[in-house]
Amino acid sequence: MNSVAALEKILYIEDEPDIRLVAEIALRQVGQLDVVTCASGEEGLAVIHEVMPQLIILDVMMPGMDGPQILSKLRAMPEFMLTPVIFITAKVQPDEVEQFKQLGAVDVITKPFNPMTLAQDVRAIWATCHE
Amino acid sequence: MDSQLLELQKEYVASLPARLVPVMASWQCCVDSNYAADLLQEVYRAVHAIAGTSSMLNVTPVNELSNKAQELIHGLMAADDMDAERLLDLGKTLKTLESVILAGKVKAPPINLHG
Repeated sequence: MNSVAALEKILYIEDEPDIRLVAEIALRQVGQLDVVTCASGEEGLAVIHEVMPQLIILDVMMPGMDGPQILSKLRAMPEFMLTPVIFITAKVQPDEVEQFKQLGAVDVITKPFNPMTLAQDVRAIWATCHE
Repeated sequence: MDSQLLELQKEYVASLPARLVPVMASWQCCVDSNYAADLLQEVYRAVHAIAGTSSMLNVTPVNELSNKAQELIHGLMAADDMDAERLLDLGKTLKTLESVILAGKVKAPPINLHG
């Protein structure tokens, strides 16, 4: 049986400050995860080598670089080529979920997410990445 | 956590008039341009910001109206031409959103954390 490394460190990029705050509460306080949040792709890419996250959560629609553009940049970096990326977005159609997965996202979480279960959901996705 | 979210919800509701400004400004630019597609995309981005956070913080009917506006814009952008009826509906929806927010009577039921 393969042992899965515990998920501890997450980078979450989201332009909406209130959603960032809810996610911080959900991941940090409820989920006991070490989470670093950034307001833009530019900011996230600037700190990513310092943070060295095990998993990255990206809002899909943001001003400047959007989630798919950030993912594309990450995949060009050898250190983050294989880092699991979850997209987070408002209501999506099933075909859009497939499109996001084809871009390289491991899964999609829809807003509004439940702050009580967000960390649990993220950990479940993390586990599936290591099956 | 409940008290933190309640406080965040209150602050968000209080900030809605300011958050509405870019929505209505981008819509006015779009109308003035005779509904240029790139300006409609700007309206979408502005409405999307309100839709995302209002859904997260359970701020109804702001969430319902902003979602409706998003869907209308999505339909307009997907079509080959600007459907007059849909544009009219979008204008009315945004006007209603503005009225609801500026009336200062936005209801925000407590966030149900336990499903």
